[in-house]
Amino acid sequence: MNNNIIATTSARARILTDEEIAEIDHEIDLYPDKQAVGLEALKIVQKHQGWVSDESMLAISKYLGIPISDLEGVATFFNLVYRQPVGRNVILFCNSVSCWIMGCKSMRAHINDKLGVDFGETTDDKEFTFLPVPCLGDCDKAPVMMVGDDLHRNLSKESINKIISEYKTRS
Amino acid sequence: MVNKPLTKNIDMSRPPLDMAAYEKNDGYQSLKTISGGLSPADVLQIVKDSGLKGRGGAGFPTGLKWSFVPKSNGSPGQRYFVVNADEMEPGTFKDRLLMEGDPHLLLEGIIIGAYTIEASVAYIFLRGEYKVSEERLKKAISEAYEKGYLGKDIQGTGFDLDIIVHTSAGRYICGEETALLNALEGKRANPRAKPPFPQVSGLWGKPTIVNNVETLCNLPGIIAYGVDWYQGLSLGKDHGTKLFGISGKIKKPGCWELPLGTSIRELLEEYGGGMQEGLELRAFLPGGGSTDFMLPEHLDVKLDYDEIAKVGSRLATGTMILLDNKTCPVGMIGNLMKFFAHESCGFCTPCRDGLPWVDEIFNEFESGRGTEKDLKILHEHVDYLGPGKTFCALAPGATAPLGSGLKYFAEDFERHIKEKRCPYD
Amino acid sequence: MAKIIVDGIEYEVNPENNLLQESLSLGLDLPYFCWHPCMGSVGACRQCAVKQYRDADDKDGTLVMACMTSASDGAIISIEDEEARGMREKVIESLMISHPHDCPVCEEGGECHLQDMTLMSGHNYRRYDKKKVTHRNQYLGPFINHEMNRCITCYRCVRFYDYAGGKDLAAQASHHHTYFGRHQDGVLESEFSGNLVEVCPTGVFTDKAFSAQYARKWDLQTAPSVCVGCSVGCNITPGERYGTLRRIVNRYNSEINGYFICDRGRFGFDYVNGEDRVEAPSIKKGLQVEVLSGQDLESAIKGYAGQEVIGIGSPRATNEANYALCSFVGKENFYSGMADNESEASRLILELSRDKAFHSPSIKEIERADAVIVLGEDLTNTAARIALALRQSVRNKAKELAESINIPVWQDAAVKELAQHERSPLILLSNYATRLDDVASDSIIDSSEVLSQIGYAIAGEISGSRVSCALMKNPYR
Ligand SMILES: Cc1cc2nc3c(=O)[nH]c(=O)nc-3n(C[C@H](O)[C@H](O)[C@H](O)COP(=O)(O)O)c2cc1C
Ligand code: SF4
Ligand code: SF4
Ligand code: FES
Ligand code: FES
Repeated sequence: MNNNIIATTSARARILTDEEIAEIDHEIDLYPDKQAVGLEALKIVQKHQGWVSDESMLAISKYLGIPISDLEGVATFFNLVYRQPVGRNVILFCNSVSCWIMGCKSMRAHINDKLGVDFGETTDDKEFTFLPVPCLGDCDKAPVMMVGDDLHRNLSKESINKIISEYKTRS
Repeated sequence: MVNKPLTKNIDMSRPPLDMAAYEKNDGYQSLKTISGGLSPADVLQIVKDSGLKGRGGAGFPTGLKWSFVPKSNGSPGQRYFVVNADEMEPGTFKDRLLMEGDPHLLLEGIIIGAYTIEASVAYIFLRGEYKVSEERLKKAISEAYEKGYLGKDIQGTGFDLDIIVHTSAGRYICGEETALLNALEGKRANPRAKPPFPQVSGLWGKPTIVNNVETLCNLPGIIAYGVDWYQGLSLGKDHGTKLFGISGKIKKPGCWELPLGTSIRELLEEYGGGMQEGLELRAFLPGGGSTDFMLPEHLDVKLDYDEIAKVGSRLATGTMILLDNKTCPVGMIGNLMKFFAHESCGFCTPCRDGLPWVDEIFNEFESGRGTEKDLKILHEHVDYLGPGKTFCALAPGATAPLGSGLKYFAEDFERHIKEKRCPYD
Repeated sequence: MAKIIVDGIEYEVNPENNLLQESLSLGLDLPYFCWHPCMGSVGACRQCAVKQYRDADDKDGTLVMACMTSASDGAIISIEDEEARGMREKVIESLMISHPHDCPVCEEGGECHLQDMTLMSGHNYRRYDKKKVTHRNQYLGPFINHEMNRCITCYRCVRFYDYAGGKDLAAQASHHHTYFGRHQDGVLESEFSGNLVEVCPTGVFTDKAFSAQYARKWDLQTAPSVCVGCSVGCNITPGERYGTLRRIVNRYNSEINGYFICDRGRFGFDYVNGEDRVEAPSIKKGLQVEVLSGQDLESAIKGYAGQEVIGIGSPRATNEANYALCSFVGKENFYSGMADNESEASRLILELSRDKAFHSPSIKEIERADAVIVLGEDLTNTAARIALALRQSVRNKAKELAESINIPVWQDAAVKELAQHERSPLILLSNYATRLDDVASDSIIDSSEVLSQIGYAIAGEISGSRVSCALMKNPYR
């Protein structure tokens, strides 16, 4: 069967790195249908590039044969696919109910003060992007947030100060 | 005899048991029982007899669910087994514990389930943020392949199984089992119409079972130690043990495995150590963000599916969220509504356009601009977003805390209107 | 046939359909958005809520979506039920919370499904006083205008686009920010994109060319007509105002175009309004062109008596015009405007279509075919509406699978999900890749010679008499 997409220009597609391709190919083996790999591919590219640019979208669309508007429909559906550049560290801050009861509002205000950014914003030095996230499943240790892949529990103003300065020195 | 089958191996202060240690502790015993001569139909009967009910929220009998998969008559064709590990219900933190604490237990449960419905591929649909779970599950899976518990012809039964970890990218609706299937297929995670049920036409149109992590963790014990043992674990009508969690302003928030039928009072006082100094319990959501509020007067109700239903709520995930007397109930419900409005998939009208209105009204209440008209509209939405009116159960879930909250905290809503501010601020 | 009771009255219905479709066929008023007669049901808008009762003793009933419920024998429903009415009114109210209420300047005004349904559902006062959601619009090309703020999120546009095999329009984002558009600005690629104007129940997608010289529907003079874009003969309704043709819309014909026409038919009429169009018999004198009145014409004709005059007709002109010209110059001096071989082929086609043994299927029949072979024709370019029909014929396999496990065929999403990539056979034999390749089970690309040989071989197989290719007369040689 000829599954050609007679679709949009792919002139601006970037070239996927060998690493990205190897990881995407690995995922292709795990599913009976390439469409299933769309989200995986977005996440793989995001892991390597930090975010998913239009050029990356086109590259994935082309590589997997998924129409670009369908892929965009998936990318924009999920909370954790970033279609805009983000900072080196993404703070996923739980603002769901248990954390709210345990005072996440003032923790948010504290981060806000400390970094000068609110939800959806990135610091001028591109160090941190601050995003809300639904319940992180650690409600008995609320308030909770993730920075990158790491979870930080029982947040207090002091622990937040420490966490932020650690990540700053790390990069 | 084992009395905490779900958590007996869990000690969060160390890494989870590896294959050798897990096996030493009776691990993968059930596979030996199966390869000793249990057919898929035999296992199905055992699971039915055990009375196990799904732990994902709806409490649907697991054996009955499996029995809807069409009879294979020897040629099952492609079937899929899917694990719902998307845990995103606010206030729910039990599946994480199981996956981080004892990944092999889940794998063993998956193997039993897949064997029963004759599925050769299982996907674990894992919440993307659960990085530690991902890493530990993947490690356990590779150990299981090495040991021959996964792959081709497992334990000489002629049964093949591959387990694949799929990590999601953060949407609560993916926990709804049919939306989950769409997400796994790489589509937008809108739910599907039922019927047809996934047991008949599920993943890629093939017969599929979706079960919650905790549900599956019950299976190894049931097969290894039998139905009588399992039924003897609980104190009430429902069988087995369950994970119960508490969050909110209690002395010792946490998650414990207890017999079904334990009283709520015992959970809160013995395990949670009672409310924090100077605070009183005002109300609680018994099983996550989409259950109805219960009141202190319900503390002697048993943690049992039917008992909780009798007082108008649901056991659901069994993870409680406590509201104390110094926290604003309107603010708490408002927080939940914001969550549901944001997590609506956008497919059906009442949920997509109704919840944001509800959310906007809560914003007004919080900033002291709520009106009687707003309150009336909130009441209307409880009915409008209810079961049968929306396409899936997300919006009806939102009406649980909303409807019960409007009933129990009517005075608080009125005070917000009259005082033109939040009286708790 | 099955019997159902609606608000106490018994009706005969087709149990293979859903309750919405049957209620509408019975002439009952039940509002709806996401259901479409060609595209089936998905249950998204929740506008078609009715009460269903288990039996005569059931006084409470349960709310169901009519479009998602079979019109099975013995079904008892109420459209008038108060709860059902209340639900429908609430649905409209929520659909309208972010609607801009810009009806006075909206091109859809007066022929808007949303206006009609709003009225029918009894929502007449806006209570929503919070912030509205607004969207950016996209440039979608010269034909279609995009005004997303009017969207009620019924998902029809993207479902139609998929129905027509288009790949560059999809739902984006989610919750109440759900957006329907391309991944970026750009001309819509589907050759059926114009149908969005009619499929969208409100004014999100509108006819851009028409809007440039807009007239309300009731200010247009319309008449039933047939499209001249190709030989399919889709039924259309052209609309005229002040002597110019302003737009063309689909006119339902169950055997031919049904609800859809192609973009050439819809948008390709501008030549009609062209300034240099010859609208009356004229005569060219030097550089001057003079229009001839009836009398002048006759005398002009007489003036040529006895001279060698040839007449060049055109397959694009009407039969009447060609006939008139032919009888004027005489058969020997008339040229139809078609090359001999084309003319011969047309003659053959005409002959065959008069032959009772040769069945020329209607589009409706094509849509129902089990298997289709297309020999040497790029249908998308020559008879687009048939290409659209073929996209439906390949779905018959899916419907068959669905029926085998009792999924009603109108359960659109469920049928697609079950069938995945299973399709009925569609074999394309063509000189080059075509737009239908994506749904073809086989696309054979080769020279005309080879393709016609395959054609003869197939004909031979069917007739049972293996005719040697060489013996057949090939009009293309
Ligand atoms: C909006 C929504 C979210 C859900 N989220 C989850 C979830 O995160 N995990 C889960 O196991 N079940 C979740 N469910 C329930 C599932 O749809 C399904 O009932 C469950 O996975 C079945 O497993 P069980 O029979 O083992 O309980 C959710 C349901 C809804 C409506
Ligand atoms: S209730 Fe409707 S909009 Fe909400 S999540 Fe379910 S299908 Fe989507
Ligand atoms: S653009 Fe029109 S057809 Fe598409 S979802 Fe919105 S209202 Fe429906
Ligand atoms: S509510 Fe924050 S982790 Fe659960
Ligand atoms: S028409 Fe029935 S739900 Fe949309």
